[in-house]
Amino acid sequence: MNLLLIDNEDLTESISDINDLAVKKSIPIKCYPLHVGLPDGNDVIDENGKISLQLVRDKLDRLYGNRRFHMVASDFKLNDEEIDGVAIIRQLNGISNTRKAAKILYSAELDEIVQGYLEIYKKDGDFDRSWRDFKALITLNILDFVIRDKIEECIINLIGKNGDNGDDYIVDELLSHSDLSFNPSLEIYEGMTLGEIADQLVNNDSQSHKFKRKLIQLAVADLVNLNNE
Amino acid sequence: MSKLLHIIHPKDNSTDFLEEIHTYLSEKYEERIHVSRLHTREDHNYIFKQMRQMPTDTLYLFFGHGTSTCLSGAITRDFEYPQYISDEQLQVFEGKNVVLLSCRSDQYLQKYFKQCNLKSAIGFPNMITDDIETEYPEPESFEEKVTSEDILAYRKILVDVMKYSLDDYLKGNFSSSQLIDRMRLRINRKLINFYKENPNKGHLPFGMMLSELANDVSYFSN
Repeated sequence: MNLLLIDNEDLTESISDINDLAVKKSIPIKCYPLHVGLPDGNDVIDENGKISLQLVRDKLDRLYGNRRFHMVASDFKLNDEEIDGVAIIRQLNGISNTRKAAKILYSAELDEIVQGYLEIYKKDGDFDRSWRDFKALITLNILDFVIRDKIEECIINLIGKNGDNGDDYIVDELLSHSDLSFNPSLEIYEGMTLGEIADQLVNNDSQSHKFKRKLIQLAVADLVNLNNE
Repeated sequence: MSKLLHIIHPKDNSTDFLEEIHTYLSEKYEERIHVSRLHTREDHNYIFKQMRQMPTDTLYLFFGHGTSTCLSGAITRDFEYPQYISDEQLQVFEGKNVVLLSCRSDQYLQKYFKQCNLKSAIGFPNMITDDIETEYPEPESFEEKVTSEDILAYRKILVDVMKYSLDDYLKGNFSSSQLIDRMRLRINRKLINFYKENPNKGHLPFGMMLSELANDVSYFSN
């Protein structure tokens, strides 16, 4: 389980807490920090002193390359007037290595953020604007929005509750041998390397369901004990 | 209640290899297997007329040649019945569970299964089980010719898949749906073993014959 943690402040303590909780629950997890925004993520700040989404993308590529993440947890407030956790997650939903990851937002100011959304409606009567902010959390498939103090516990609980995603295992295994290809027993995606097939699965290609079904059928057929052949 | 099988097998030299299936099953489950070998017109007519009265809790298996619109009867020196059951005559199996081990029965069932109100059915795609069929190469995607050795090996696989899967069906009191799952599992296993024994040669006609069988053997239910 690869977890990408995004914050503008040091994440050492959070990662240590998550690792401790994971060990207690026997959950295999690897945490990867991505500092975005001042003070600790100053390398994604542009010449105008603002967070640049392009620099964030470049930093992610530079630090972690093709690594696939199964979960992303981002701080909502990144010390920037325009870019917040929602904008970061929107960007990550367009990147294959993070598109299918479960997404969580957290903030030390959760109450204030929700109040702020409601104030827009209360003060200005602008329902559309207020609702748009709430709706963004749904359309971006954000699994939870929690208070900062609880994020480590929340991550471990969500992993435990949601269990392992079988698709992740398949994609990870394919990527581990990305240069190889299947023999003709498996005709779907014929001629592609395992790495190319992994891309098809991550991108929800129309054949991907059929491929997974056939892969499992063949694996079971190969491994099962039969009384008679 | 124990499952029962009734195998209907018209006499034809080119499908006699399927006898091994009923021989094997009859030795193990004598009282649960009924075999009707059809030689004469009277044999065919008798089964056709009696079928409607036959019990619905039996699994009926037809072993023989066929097309997308019919099941063929016997072909002997004295008698030929190329269209024994055709088109909507499939209704003879109304309310029954059937396995039609004949070429393109998947297409025949696709057209007539609902209309003829069968309870469940398993159909097969085209199967190359005789040298004469290689004179009309099919499908076109076969780059190399199917050999006589391929055909003998394919016949053996058909027999093994059927006899052992039907054995599981009787022993485990399976449904027809479980039967086709078990058949497909065995075909897939044969396919995997074949390419393990013939690595790095790309697609081979025999492998393609097995792939088609695994992919196209079909289940219908009402």
